Amino acid sequence: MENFYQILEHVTDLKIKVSGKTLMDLFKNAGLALFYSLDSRSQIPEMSGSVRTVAIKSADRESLLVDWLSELLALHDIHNENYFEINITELTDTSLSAEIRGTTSTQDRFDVKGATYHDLKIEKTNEGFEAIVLFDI
Amino acid sequence: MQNFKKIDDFLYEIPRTEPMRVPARFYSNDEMLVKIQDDRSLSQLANVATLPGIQKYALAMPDIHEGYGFPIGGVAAFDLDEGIISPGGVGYDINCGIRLLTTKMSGEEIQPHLVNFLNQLQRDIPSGVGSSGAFTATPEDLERILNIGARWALEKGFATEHDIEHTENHGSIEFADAATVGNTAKRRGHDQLGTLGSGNHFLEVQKVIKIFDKITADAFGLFEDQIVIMIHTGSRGLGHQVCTDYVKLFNANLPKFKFVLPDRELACAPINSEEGQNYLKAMSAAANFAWTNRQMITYFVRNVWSEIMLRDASELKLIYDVAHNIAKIEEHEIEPGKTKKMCVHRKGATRAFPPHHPEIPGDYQDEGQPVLIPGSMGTSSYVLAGTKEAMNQTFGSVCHGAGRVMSRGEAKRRIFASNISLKKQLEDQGIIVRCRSNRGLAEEAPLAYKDIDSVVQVVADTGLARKVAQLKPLGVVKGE
Repeated sequence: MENFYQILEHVTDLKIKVSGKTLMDLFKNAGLALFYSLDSRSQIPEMSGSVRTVAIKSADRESLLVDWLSELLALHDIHNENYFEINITELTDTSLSAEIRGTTSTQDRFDVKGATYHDLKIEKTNEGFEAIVLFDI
Repeated sequence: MQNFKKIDDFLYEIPRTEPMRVPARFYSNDEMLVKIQDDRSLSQLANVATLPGIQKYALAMPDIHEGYGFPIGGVAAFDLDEGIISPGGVGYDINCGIRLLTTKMSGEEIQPHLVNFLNQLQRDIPSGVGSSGAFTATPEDLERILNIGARWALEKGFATEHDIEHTENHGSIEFADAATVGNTAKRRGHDQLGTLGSGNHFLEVQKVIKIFDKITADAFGLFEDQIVIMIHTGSRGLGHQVCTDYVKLFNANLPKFKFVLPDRELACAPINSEEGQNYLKAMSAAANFAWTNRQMITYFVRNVWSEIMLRDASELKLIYDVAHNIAKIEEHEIEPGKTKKMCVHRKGATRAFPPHHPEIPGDYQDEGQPVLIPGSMGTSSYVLAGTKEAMNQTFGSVCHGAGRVMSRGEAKRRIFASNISLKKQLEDQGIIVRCRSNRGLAEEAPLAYKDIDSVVQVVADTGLARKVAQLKPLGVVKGE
């Protein structure tokens, strides 16, 4: 497990605490934490897929995080890829652009059905930023 | 801590306090009540009672546990003029549900073929998680599937008339409109028909080990020692995306609707607004997709049956197919002698209509709707029959399963701490498991769930449904 995220106890779903030195790091790490959590392989292979661009606009910072993770889930489902190369190229409180590259997903641990707003928090910490996200699985 | 009072042996009430609009009620026995208070399910239930237009009570079944927005096991009905519709009251897996097929084979007869049968089921019915689907729909087919549901499968020869008659809503909500389903959802769903998904979704070969009511069991085609096949899955990525899209839309419009919500996953829209109507149409289309998915899996199961058993596939008869994550327009009695249409949300709750209800099949009119309750892996499942009491108390609803009480992480730690693998433990109980990973298996271990026998007994003791048959698993195929 990478040290930028932690899986918290939750009876039914996948609850992740993720951190980053900057907001850009936080958004990148939230995406990576999602794929580290669902990919069952102990060794992640080289990213072999195409570079995909993502552009999102949302109402506020929290919505932007949910929308970003939802977009990653949709691309994961459509292309059967897990994204471990994530480059956030632009980030404001209401918009995000990114380039991502994935590896074919052959054995996922579970379907992540959705990124939810439940208990969603993005907070400034002494080290940077921290977020808690609950995924429906 | 949420305050509540005991109404009778198995019924509790959270009295109405501001900002609740109605009281909340839930069903439990004393033992499960302790667990229920360990999580936030009761405060989530009280939150549901704050939503505009809610009728009578916010309700929760005995398998209640913490979710997001609505608790799992929640039932809530809303007025069609003043009420709301909420994707959080349905869940991301729209029309996750259960279907049960009967066979004419006994437990003893299947034993020599069971391993081959399970192996072939695992090969022919992919999880769809990290693998390609079993069937790819053309854009034209997908539009039709979203609009007419399992009737599409009938047109294409993947279903029989009997299948359609014995599916909730005949596998098709007429209100559905494919145009309200976004392109991303369609891209996700087009190659996912005939796939199980993962998590607690499964295919099980089960044996009828007890008949509680012979007359109703006869009507449903069930007899002791009979082999039956249970299918548990939903609308896959298509349904997940519909929920995602409409939670986003509703959250963006909350100021316009003037809603202040205690949890953003309760995002909702007035049911009579354009946004609310579009969600109802899209959710109905996703429900149609889910019924078609379970029908396609049925088609593949029948093919495997004839290939491995060398018996006629038509032997596999559908008892019933019922949704447990859905919102539907239904007519219910709101006060003695007065009925009205309302939007009933069931999130982890099963419709359970009584005898002589117009929406249940003709051959079950004297018995009530079959209610299919899956156990956790390795434990019993149940067939129940709907009663008038559920119409009186719960808008015709009962539980949907055992209900989790332990996180996946904790379940894994406990199973891995044991020297004997869960697969071996299950095999020692006579249950063969086909699953790609021990980790996925451990996460769904029976110890992570409430005792299904207790959950079903509460439903039976309160009269919400009658017990008809108990089913024991012999073989499980899991998506992961």
